[in-house]
Amino acid sequence: MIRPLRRRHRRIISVLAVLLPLAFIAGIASRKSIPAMAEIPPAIRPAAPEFTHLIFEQNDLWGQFDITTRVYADTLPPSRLAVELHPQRYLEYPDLLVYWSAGAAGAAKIPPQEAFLIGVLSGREKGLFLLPAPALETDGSVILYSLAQQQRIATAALPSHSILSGGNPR
Amino acid sequence: MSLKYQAVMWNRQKKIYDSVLIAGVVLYLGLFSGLGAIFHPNATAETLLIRGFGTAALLLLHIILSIGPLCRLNPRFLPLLYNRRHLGVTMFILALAHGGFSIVQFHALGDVNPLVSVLAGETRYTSLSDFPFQPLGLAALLILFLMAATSHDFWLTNLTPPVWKALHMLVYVAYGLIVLHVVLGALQAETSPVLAALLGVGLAWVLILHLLAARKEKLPDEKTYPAAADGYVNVCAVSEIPEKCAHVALIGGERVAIFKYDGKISAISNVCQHQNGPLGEGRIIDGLVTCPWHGFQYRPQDGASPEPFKEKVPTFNVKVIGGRVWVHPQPNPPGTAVEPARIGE
Repeated sequence: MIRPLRRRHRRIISVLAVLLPLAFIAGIASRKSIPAMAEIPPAIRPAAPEFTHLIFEQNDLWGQFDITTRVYADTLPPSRLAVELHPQRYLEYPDLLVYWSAGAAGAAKIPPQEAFLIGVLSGREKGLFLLPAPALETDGSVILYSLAQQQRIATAALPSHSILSGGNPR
Repeated sequence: MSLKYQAVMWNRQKKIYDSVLIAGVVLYLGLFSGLGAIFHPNATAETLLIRGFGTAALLLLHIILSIGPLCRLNPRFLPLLYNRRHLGVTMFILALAHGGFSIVQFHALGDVNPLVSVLAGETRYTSLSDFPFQPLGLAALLILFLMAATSHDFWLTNLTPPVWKALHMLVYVAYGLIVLHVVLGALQAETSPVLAALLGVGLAWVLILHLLAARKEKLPDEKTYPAAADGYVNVCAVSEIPEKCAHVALIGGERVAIFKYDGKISAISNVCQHQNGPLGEGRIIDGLVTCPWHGFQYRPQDGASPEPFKEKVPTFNVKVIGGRVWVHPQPNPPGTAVEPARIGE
């Protein structure tokens, strides 16, 4: 290169050597923590100590999703049921809502009209969700639905209500 | 023109260079997508492609920016410089794919023109963590486009090497914009420290290499040479110049390459007419000064390329007295024949 261009090159590098590390450090330092999903309202949030009887557990209920599913009962035989979902890997979906739906949940993009919203799931957080009373009397499925993407992400059929309401501990 | 007077076209070295480049890019994208699908099974194909193209372009840009200073520090890296423009164009294509897929994925489904959405979708310029990082990437892409579009020798010839070089120094502005684009964009939502650490290492690598090369480059420009009454300056001892190589000195405001060959000394401008490469770092091959960058050749006696080529560089009057080399700082017009100084006369 000719001398004026060498000088210009040196000046550019000198400026970048000061500005870029500063910008890099400032950018990393200003990072916000990733917002967590707000807690679900107490009315539909089951208290874990109430549900001490494990009556069902399975790891491969969700197809491609690595989620451990457990169903707990408050008493034996149960008067209330709760389902625990524990993602083993980060769920990369925003605004993930959890529904329980009576019967086969079908394959529609959105949950059935009569499905019950039972909570929200986020990242790798373990969630315990109170199942509605009909879960003791009818077979049902749990549905994961992304509100942001407006689509059903996955569906898992729970064991039949006779097994669950029988409350036979595993 | 190259060493054997062949036009710089699709020679074997270029084919090997480009084959390695394409294979490397394909391999990287394949590995990235495959591993991404395994470790992030919920990620969509579009997301993996956006990330793959983006990281491939960023990695390639670091390689491109490393080649220049590495060649200044060690001539063994010169083969990498030979076809660097193809790396640049490939990098632009990868960046374009990254930008294109991102616009489709994040901006194409609204009721606003996607480009308007990129530029006006976020306006929190006073917040670092919420800074609109996408316009930074778009600005960098425009610079890369300008560079890719003018990368051919047609533009090099028509713009002249100094203008072309000055234009292509915009790559540093693009690099700064891209680093900010990543730091204020992807890294703001990234929980793993690995990506931030990788970018930090890459940034430090590029800057340190350039600072080391700049330090080495500055030394010849700082040395001054005593002038005699007839205007000639005492540059060096003949013994300091290796046979068929050059001693480079800043004389009269620009670098001069003083070659020793076959018992003779000749001095020509250090600046190659092709891309302003450093002729003094080349060697004399088949009796011709050969540029280390792309093999352009000049006769040491008159600074002219042999027929049929037309390139010419300025020559300098030179004499040898008492084992010392004296050069007149006034350049002769390009292509002017100058009688070489005989060593030992």
